[in-house]
Amino acid sequence: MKYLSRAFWLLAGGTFLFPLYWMIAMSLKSKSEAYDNPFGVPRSWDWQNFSEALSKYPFFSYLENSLIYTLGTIALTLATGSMLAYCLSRMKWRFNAAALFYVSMGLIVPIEVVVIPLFQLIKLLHLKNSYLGLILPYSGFAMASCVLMLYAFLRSLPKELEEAACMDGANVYQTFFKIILPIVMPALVTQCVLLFMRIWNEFPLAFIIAAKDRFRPLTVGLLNFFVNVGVSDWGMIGAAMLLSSLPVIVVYLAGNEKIEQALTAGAILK
Amino acid sequence: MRRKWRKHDVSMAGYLYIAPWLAGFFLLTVWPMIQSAYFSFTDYSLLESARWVGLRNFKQIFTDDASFVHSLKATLLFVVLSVPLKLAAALLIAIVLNKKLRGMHFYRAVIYFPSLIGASVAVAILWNNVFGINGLVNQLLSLFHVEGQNWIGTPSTALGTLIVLAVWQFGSSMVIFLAGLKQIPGEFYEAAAVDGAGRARTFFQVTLPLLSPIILFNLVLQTIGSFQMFTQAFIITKGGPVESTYMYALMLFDKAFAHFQMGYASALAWILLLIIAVVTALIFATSRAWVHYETEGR
Repeated sequence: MKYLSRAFWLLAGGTFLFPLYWMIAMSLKSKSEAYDNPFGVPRSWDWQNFSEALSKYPFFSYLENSLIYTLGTIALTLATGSMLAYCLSRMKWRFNAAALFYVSMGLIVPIEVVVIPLFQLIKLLHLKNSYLGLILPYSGFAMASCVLMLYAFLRSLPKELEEAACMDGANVYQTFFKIILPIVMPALVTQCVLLFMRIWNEFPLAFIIAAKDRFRPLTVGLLNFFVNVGVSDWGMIGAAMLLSSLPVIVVYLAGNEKIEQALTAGAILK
Repeated sequence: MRRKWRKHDVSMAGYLYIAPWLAGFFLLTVWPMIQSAYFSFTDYSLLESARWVGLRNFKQIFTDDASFVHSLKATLLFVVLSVPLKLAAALLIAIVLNKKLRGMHFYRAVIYFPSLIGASVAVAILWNNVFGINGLVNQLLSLFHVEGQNWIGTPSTALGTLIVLAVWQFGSSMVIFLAGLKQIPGEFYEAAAVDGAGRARTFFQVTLPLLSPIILFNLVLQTIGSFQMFTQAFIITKGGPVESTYMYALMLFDKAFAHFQMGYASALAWILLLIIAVVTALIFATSRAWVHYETEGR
């Protein structure tokens, strides 16, 4: 019985790690080996695929774009989101409840409903094929979960914080930037990791808005590369896939506890 | 010494803090929604300007659009099958992982891995290789002398491969369940053990009720997400064969950005929003019967 359950877990674990194994194995196989031995362990290690992929697949250009989209979205979302969450949680405002309701609506409205006017708007503002053209809508859609989480976090802080700051002669702005923000830093870091995973893998909007190759992020770039190379050179595709997936894996390994905290925070909020 | 800032300063700061969001939210959500509602009553295409056509789009969708019927069927099937299976897998694994075992951190990282890259283009490409005619599944089947088939190219099994892919990414639901399980006080289980409840009874009468708010949260989140499934269908099956995996978001995308029927697609988008709203409301309405909230203060 014990061995049976252990075998089951090994098998299950195998399916979870299979994509990673497959990408690594594929990236080391030569063209002919990838064809007649698509799933096995590579017979000989062929590092050539990586250099070939890097020369034909503009990995660094896509990587740079993905980084700009992701980091830009994180910066914009956290800056505006933390200010809004602060207002909603710690200032008395007549429309607090209404604003909070509107923010949470952002969790439910599917991107499909607004994608056409959004596309039109981006074109109208001449933002199509520009970094802002994706960063702005990404931030708009990331706002809801970010604000709701920071709201819950800020609300739990004692009221005396602001009173003490005021007595020490700090004004409203100094208090927010020098006292409140450092306190909510753990929540901000959690949001950073979460936003990173979300934006890095985003596909449909990037596919529509970043049409020019120069502005494509890794997701769209990889699909395009795959379509162009076709199934003739799996080794090279494997190398390109591995390179494209590495950043998310690294961020996850560095921040997996933060992700668990963030996912949990969302559940407890409801 | 003052203990409070002047009221004027505070409200000034408040408006400054809210302004960027207010502008952004209006520009990126409210205005597009109003426009999309308007477009749904027009024959707007990218090439020509919008002309009011009243309810024609909706009429055509409901009476004269076979693709709409196919995609609604595929999407509902996908949601109804993938969400419960995914939550069941997530709950099962969470219960197993809730024990204190050596290397738990490693197991959790491994199990989360599909959720990490499962939505990516790379895994979609991989899926084609696993379920294709010469794919891994068929190679494994041939070991047992079972003849496989092209799972992705057959109408009756194509949707199944997408459901398997969705269920496989149960990691984030599982992490949430795990957090919920940790919050259940041990004394409940001790009491159940004293009463002589077996494992099954303890699960159904202690774990499930106490976890029900978390189940509701995961259910709503996954349901909304599944209705919007796009990337995998777009890359793996392209909606085929014979529209058996023509997910709603994919059809909407085709209408808008391949056929440029923006007005028609806007009508489709609003129907999707209404469906999601109704389903979410239904889940919340039934939740009163099965979600157990602890009322006494602790």
